[in-house]
Amino acid sequence: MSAVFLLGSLLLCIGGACCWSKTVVLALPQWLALGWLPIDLRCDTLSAFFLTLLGVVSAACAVFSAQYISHLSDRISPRLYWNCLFIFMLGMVLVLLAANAPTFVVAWELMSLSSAVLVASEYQKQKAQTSAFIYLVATRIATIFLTAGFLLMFSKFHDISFTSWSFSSPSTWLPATLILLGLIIKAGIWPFHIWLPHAHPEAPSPVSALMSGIMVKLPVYAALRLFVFGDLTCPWLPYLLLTLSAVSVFWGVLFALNQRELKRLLAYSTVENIGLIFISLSVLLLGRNAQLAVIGRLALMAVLIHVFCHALFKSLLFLCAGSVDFSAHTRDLSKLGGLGKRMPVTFATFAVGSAAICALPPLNGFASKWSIYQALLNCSFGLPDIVSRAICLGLIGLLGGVGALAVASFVKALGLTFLGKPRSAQVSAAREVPLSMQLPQLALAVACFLTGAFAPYLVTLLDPISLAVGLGRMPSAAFASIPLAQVALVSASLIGVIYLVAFRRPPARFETWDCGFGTTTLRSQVSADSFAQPIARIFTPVLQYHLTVDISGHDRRHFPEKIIVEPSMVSLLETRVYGPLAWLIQRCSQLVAKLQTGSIHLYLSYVCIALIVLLALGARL
Amino acid sequence: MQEQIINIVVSVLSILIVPPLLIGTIRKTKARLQNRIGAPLWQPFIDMTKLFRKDETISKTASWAFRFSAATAMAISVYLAVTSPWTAPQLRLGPCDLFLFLYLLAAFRFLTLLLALDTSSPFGTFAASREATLSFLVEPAAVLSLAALAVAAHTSDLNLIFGAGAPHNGMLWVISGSAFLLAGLVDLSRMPIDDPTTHLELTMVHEALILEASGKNLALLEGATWLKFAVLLGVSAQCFLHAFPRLYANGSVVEAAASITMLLLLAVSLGTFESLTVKLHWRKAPEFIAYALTLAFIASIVALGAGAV
Repeated sequence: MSAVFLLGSLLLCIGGACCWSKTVVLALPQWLALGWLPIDLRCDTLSAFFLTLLGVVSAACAVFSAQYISHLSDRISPRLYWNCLFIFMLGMVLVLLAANAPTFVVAWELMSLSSAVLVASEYQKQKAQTSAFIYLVATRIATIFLTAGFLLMFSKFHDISFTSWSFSSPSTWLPATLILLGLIIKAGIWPFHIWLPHAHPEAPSPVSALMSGIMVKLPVYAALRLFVFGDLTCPWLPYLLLTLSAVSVFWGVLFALNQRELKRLLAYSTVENIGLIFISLSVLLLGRNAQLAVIGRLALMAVLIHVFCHALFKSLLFLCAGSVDFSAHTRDLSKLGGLGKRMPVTFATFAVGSAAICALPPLNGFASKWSIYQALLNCSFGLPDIVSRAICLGLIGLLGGVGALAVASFVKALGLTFLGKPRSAQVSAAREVPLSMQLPQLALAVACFLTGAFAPYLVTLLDPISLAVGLGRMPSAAFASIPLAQVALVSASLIGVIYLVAFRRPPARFETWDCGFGTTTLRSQVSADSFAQPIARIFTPVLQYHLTVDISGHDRRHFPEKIIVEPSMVSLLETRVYGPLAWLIQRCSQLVAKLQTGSIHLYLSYVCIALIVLLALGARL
Repeated sequence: MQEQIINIVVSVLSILIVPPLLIGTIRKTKARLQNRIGAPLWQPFIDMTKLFRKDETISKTASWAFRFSAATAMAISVYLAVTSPWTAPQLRLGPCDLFLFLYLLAAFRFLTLLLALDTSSPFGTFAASREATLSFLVEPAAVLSLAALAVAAHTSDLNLIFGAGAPHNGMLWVISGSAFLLAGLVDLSRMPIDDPTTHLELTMVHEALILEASGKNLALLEGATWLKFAVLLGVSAQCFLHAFPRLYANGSVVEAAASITMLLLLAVSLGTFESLTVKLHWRKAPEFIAYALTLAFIASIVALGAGAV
């Protein structure tokens, strides 16, 4: 099964590469859709770029899934997994190739529903059931907004094809807002991100990698296809998007720092990175509104590079988290620890992934973060009005702070999982995963290094997209000021010299200094809560952070017998906004349900009343 | 060709000599203010050679990341020292982008935090969480103070910003320099955030991160930190010197003399400052960082308002 999948992914990559320089129209026979759906598939450089990315990530997931699913076959049915995965991939490929609205919506729904089934793979668990439900509700609401926008555009242009739609006149700005709303719900921008931390951890790890790596980028593809290729000139929509993305960036990484579970931490980090991509997209729209091609080029480069790099290192991180789950049978940071010595390959690749996501040179994360910074910096001195310039400069400061929080979160994830001593007995028995699971991790880690060093060449490959939008060639020459290959080589040689000179002999080993307290339990190391406690305390209003301390004993002050410390955090949006909203909908539904009494006399009277009302209306008209 | 060789020789000498000299100056200043004679100015050299000769003992829990972090931290510091404009005339041994500079410092921090978490020692891990908090609070100030200069100069290449043809706005240089200096003090965990001479593990930030290191490992980490200190102090010194553009028209010898003098002056004033202040309570640390952030905001507003100047 996984071999078939791997073959399919490689074919995707090849297909993407073939369609790179020219637009290919795929004419499928119309009887395939039984006449209900006018299928129109088109592949240009933008679609080819995303298809190649999809092919690479899904190849890694295919190789990983083989052993992963056979190990979990008592909890997840392999047939369900592979069937839904095929439908998921088909949906994503059709979304990327769709050239008219109905094909797009059908493919979108195919993708969403199959991924919802995959989220509920372990459907015996209550957590999987609630997560799948929340995800389904979110994706249905997104589709409603998308369809509403598409219908309004169809009524204006009387054409379902994307190429005939143009968003330049003010009457198209309402459908543009609706479509954008649908897209950002699916992408996971604040305040619509709450489904992400529920859905991504519960899915099997390869599926989480595909969801975080590719599926949340498809709204970015759609936004590029519709708004950038469609000349959106709305003055206030980029600012709205910029505000929401800036809040997502900060909110995502703050919550990521405070998580106790490995995959939830990675899911919140996806929220942060999607915010970064949408910030670049807003800058692109701002640049086009101000007719400044320099800013537009840099922003487009930033969007595409960050989509690519984030897909690579996020899928790497999720696959490593899957390996940890496979070996240690837990994802709880308060039970993990010391896996670095037991799982060396996973440790090394997770370290590379963490360094990449923290945007540390010379990896690819730095190349993409640098492009975002360059776009914002050029806005700070290029845009005409001072308020926009001040906003962009302020965003540079915000991104600096967010980068420090990201370093903290990933040091926590890496350190608590792989360094130190194991915090529970089951984890000390963990062993390295089989080779078929190590290979995709290694391949993605190597890709992170290579895409960082060869970033300028990759950017020149994306020239056709920038030319098609009318922004000129991509500014790959700007990468000359960050010679990442040179940084990597110089650092590697310096490290080599230091190892040869200073670290010749192996060191003596002894126990860690314990200040005379003697042997303590394995759990008396740093925990997930204590590492993040200083920052959580600063942001108490946002996180609703409370620490309850209960000391009991004969003499509480001098000889305590029992000390209970309990930190608690609540998601503000879920309790204050979505909870009451869900309650309101439920109450309204209960009130309306009173109409269904089961009495046939009442139903007949409903029919009668409806008939009279319709006749009256018809007579009036 | 000859100039390149002189460049390389000068850079190697400045990396080897200036950082320990600065640390020695600060310690000597503090000693004289406390009415002691104090250790000689070259004591840090002697300490470093002593550490290099000693054997190393590592915790049984530590992995390969322990030695790797020390070696890579030193490599990063050396790379920063040869490419960033912390002395004048500029060494120009490589391009130095503003964000590369800041993210190499972030990589340094990532590695030292990993080093602290590697040994499972509670002291190291608590220091790691304190260091993470401080870096988050101060990073916007550091970024904005340098980004303000970048906005005024319309480029993010530090060598171009600090170069001879840079536009002049004396007030902007002074404010940015002060903001960056205060942010650097917090990042290096110097007073009033953390006393570098304290040995109370529950309050140490930097010292507790490298608590488990010994021998050559400790020598590399200490050397890397001193080099980072020299680079950050040097960049602030260059900011202050750029407020007087006439210095930069008189040739490289005058520039070099002015840089060294400014560095030593900053070191002496830091030593005086450290003798006169007390270490702030942990919960009051954000108030000090707010000074750096306010100065950075003022610098940004000046840079935006000045327009193309």
